[in-house]
Amino acid sequence: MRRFVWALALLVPTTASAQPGETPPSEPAPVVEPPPAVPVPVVTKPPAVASSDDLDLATLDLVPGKVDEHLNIYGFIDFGWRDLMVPDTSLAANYFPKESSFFVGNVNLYVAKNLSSHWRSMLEVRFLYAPAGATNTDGTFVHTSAPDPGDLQRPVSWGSIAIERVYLEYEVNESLTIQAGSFLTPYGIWNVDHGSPAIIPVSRPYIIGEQLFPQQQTGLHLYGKHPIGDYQLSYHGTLSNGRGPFQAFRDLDDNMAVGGRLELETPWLDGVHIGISGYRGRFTDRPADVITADASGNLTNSTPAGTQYDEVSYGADLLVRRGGLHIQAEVIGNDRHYLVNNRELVTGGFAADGRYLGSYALVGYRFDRWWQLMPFAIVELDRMRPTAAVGDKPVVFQPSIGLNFRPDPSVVLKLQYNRATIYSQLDLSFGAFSAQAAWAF
Amino acid sequence: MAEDSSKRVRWLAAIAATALAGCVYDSTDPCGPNMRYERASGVCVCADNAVVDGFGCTACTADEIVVGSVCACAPGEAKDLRNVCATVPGLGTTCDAADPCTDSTYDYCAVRKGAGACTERCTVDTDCPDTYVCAVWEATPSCRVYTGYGASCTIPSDCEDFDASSCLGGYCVVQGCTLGVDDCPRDTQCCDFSSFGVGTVCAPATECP
Repeated sequence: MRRFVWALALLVPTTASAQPGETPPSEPAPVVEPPPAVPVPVVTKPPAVASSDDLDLATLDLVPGKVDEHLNIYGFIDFGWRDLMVPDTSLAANYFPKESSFFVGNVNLYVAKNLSSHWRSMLEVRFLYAPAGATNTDGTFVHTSAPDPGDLQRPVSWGSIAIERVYLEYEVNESLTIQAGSFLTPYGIWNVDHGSPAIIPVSRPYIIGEQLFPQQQTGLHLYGKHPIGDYQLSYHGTLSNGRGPFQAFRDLDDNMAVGGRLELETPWLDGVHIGISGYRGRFTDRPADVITADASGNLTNSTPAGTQYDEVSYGADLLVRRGGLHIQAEVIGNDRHYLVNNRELVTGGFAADGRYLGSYALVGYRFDRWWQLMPFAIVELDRMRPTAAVGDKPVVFQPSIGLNFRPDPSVVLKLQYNRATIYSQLDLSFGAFSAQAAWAF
Repeated sequence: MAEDSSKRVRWLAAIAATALAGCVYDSTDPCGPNMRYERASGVCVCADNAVVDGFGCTACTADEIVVGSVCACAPGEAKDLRNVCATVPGLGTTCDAADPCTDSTYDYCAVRKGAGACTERCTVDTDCPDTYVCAVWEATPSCRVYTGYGASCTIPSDCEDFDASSCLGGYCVVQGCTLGVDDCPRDTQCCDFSSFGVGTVCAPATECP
C-alpha cells in the first residue's frame, strides 16, 4: 500500500540548486567561455596558463615546473536574482521556488599548491547555507538555527560545506598526469571549469544539471595531451568508486566505474574543439550491513537490498571560436538499468529503466566594447527518462536569451530570460528571468 | 611519428570502446520480472498477480490472488493442509431469505449491494479467516472481504466490479470510507487524503497523511 501513498505524494523538486530553500542535486552554472573569462587569481600570476585554452580556474596556479612557497588561495562567488514567472497556483510552483528572490549561489574556495616540479595539490570547497530551506517529509522547511555562545545565546543560522574536489597529482610529462583523489568528471565542455565567472549564462542546461555524467568521482584520473601536427589530442581516463551516496569515501557495491574522454583541438577558424566522453558504472544505495545468525548460531554479515542500477553515459561536444563568435554544443545521453529486486521506489511504484537524451546549443558574440558585452542565445531539447508523476518520456524544450558583461576581468554580470516548455502529463512549463553577478578573487 | 600517434589513438579508442561497450538498457523491457510498465505515470508497478517485495515484485502462487499488498486466498477460500488455497465449504455461498445458509460455521447471510453471501458473525478480525475483516461498523458484525483490493488497474472500469472500486495509482482501492469508523479491508484504516484531491481512502495506518 505504500505504493499507493506515493502515488498521492507530491513530487520532490528535481532541478533546484544548492541554495537555501532548495534541494541541491549538484553544482552551479554551466556553459563555459574562453580564456578572457577566466580571471587571474591574486596570489600568484599564472603567465603560462593565462594564454592557453585551459579553462579551469582551479589550475591557474598549478603551473608545471613551478614550485610554490605558499599556498594559493582563490575562488569565485556568485549572487543573483530570479523571478519565476508562473502563477502561484501553477504546478510548476511545486517544483521551483515561485517567489522572486535574491540569492547567494556559489561561494567556492580553492586552495592549491605546487608541491614540487611534478607534484601538485588541489582542494576546492563550496560553502553552503544547506540544509537550511530543505523540505522535511511533513512539508515544513528545515531551519538551521543554534544558540550563539558568542552573542548571549541568540540564534545564529549555520550552514555546511561541500568538498567539490580534493586531489594530489603527479605530472610524468605532458602526455601523462596521474591524479588521485576526488575530481570533477572530465566530460563535455563545462564540467571541469565550473566557476560561474567563466560561464556565459546564469543557469545551466538540463543535461548538465541532471548529472547524466556524475559531476565528481573519487579514484584515479589519468590525462594528458599529445600534439599531432597542427592538431592536439587530449585524453582522460578515469577509474572510480562510481556514483553513490558516499562515493567520496565508500563504494557500496565493490564495483569500479570507468570513463574516458578524447578531445581533438584543431587550428580551424580560431579554434575548434571536438570531444567525446563516456562513462560506465553502477550506482548503489542501501541500508547498512546486518549481522544474522544461522540455525547453528554462526554469525554472518549480510548485505540488505537497496537501490542499484547500471548506467552508461555518453556525450559529444563541439566548441567553435571565430573572433568574438562563440558556438558551443553538447549532446549527452544516459542509459539506466535497475538490477532485479533493487529498483528505486518512487511516486506511484518503482522507477523504470530509461534513457535520458538531451542537447543544447549556445551562440554568443563578444564585443570588445560596452563592458565586453556578449549577447547570447541557447536552445535546449531533452527527452527525459520516464519520471514518476510526470509520465512517460517527458520532453523539455527551452530557449533562452541573455546578455553577459565583463566590466572587469574578474567581474561578470549576466541577464537571462528563458522559457521552459515541458511536454508531459503535468503542465510544468514556466518562464524565468534571472540576473547574476559573478566574480573571482 | 604520425604513425605512432595514430596507433596510440586507436589503442585509446579500443580501450574506451571495450570499457563502455554493452547496452544496459532495453527499451522493450523497462521494468523487472513480475512488473509491468505504467505508461501514463512513467513507473513500473507489480504485474497483475504480484505484490511488492522489498525493491521488486514477487508473483503470487497460482492458487493465490493479490489482496491489498499481500498474496492470499480468494474470497471463500483458505489454505488447506497442503498449504494450497481451497474452497471453504459454506463460506461465501450465495444466500437470501428463501435460500438461507446451511453451514454450521458460516450460518449468517450478509447482504451487501443487494447480494447475500454466507459468512460468520464476529467481534474482532481474528475471528475471521485470513484476509477477512470483522465489519464491526455494521449492525450485525460479520466477516467480510473487499474484492479487488490491491488489484492492478489502468482505467477506472478495471475496478468497477470490485468492492475496491476506485483505480488510484494503478491499483484498485476502497475510496469513500468513513473517518473514525474505519469501514475498510483488514489491516487498513480510513485515511483522509482530501488534501490530495481524492477524499477518504482505506490504507495502512502508517500510510495515512
